[in-house]
Amino acid sequence: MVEVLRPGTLAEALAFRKETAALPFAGGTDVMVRERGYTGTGPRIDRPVLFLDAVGELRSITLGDFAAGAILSIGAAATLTEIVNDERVPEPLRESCRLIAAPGLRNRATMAGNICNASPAGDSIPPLYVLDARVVLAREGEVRTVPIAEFLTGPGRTTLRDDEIMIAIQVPLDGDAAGDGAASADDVSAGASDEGSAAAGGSAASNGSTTSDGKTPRTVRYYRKVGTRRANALSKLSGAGIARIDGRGVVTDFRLALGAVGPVVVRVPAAERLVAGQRASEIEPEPIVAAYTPHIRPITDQRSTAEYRSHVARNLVREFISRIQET
Amino acid sequence: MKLEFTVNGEARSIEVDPLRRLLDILRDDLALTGTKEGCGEGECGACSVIVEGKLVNSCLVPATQCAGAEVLTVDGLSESERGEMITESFALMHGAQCGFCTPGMVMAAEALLREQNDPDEEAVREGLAGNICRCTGYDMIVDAIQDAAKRGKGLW
Repeated sequence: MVEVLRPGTLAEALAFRKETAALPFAGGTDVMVRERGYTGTGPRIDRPVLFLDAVGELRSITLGDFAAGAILSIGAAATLTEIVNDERVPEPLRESCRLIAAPGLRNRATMAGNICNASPAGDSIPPLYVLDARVVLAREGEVRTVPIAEFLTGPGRTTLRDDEIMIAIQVPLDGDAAGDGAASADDVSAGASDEGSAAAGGSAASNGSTTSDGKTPRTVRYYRKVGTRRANALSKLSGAGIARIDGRGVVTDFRLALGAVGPVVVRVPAAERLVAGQRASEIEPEPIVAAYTPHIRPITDQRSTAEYRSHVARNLVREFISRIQET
Repeated sequence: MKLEFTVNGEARSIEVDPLRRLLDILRDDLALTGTKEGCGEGECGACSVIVEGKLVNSCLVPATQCAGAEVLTVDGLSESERGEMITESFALMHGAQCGFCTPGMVMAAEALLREQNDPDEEAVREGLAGNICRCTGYDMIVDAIQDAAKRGKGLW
């Protein structure tokens, strides 16, 4: 019988983790499947297990004001259901969580687990890249904050140390992002599109506020998950984007992240800079697609082929640009 | 470990392995065999139960996380007025074919109706998104849940 602990406080959790290098277990929806035993038996876990679901400090979603702006801190034990139900969570992150699995799984699964599992197909990860999110890692006597792109180093690989646990995910809410986060669900044209069985869901949302000169700066938020079913589908690939367009129709900020097209999520700063500064209506998609192409290097596995993923990933670039141009 | 929790309103105390699945505790230790095992990996929803008011897949919940929890299974639900209403609607609308997915569907329906007592078809389908019917009788299941909502007005 393995040693387990389900503490109520972070201090107890950190002490146990340091002492035993226990497996951190939040919702368990990945661990229980990965370590599954025969029918009628429990999971085959041969190391101590640290249950995090009862740690009060890790359960909340809180808004903080920092010098750099407002930051939403999502506790590592907050469930996906809690995240989806929280209107402060900015798009496209909230939408990506809404499309993960199904209600019963979202009631247990956590975003921290989705990150630490470090699957190239983890659905919350591309949105975290475009939101420039950071993860907060703690061990006894030390807390460090790491950009999401530095935390994830490859399939199943992270920079989490043996005595650390993830305690929160920090999502910056700059001015209009906070506005979007607080906007009603009506702003998101959510749900699956019917472009064949391969499209599991897509959405774009935009909002803006009128400036003194009467023009309306706007933010376009994009998310598309490509999978075989609307529910319980592991993604073949996914894309998340944010673009800001100023009152003159010029794109001032363009961010796009592609999931499951390489060992880690792909963002291409050079391609993003190509778009920034252009008038939205005048963007030529193909040079942008070409800038992404060398970075789209997927593999063939049981869910999809490299060829399909490459083809559709380039289509996601085109789709995001067309969303910028149509709104 | 000694697991103390409440199942279908009854306080239970049993000696179990801390990683034993809630599904096995219910079926094998407590002889509550209404809950079924389909895939054993959270894909099919046949093992759905309600823990602390939330729908969960009991195949993915280890004993340790059940300490002190309140668990409702189809065995308990079916003896309540709501459970009887859902059961009756499944019969009226032909919502059960082979019946293996039905306990999970009934639990998902209960969880859904607690949140939305008059769900439209899309909401029902979203509420059932984690439950697979091998007979593919989804339309009748959706009808059954909407029928339960209609006839059972005031129960949720």
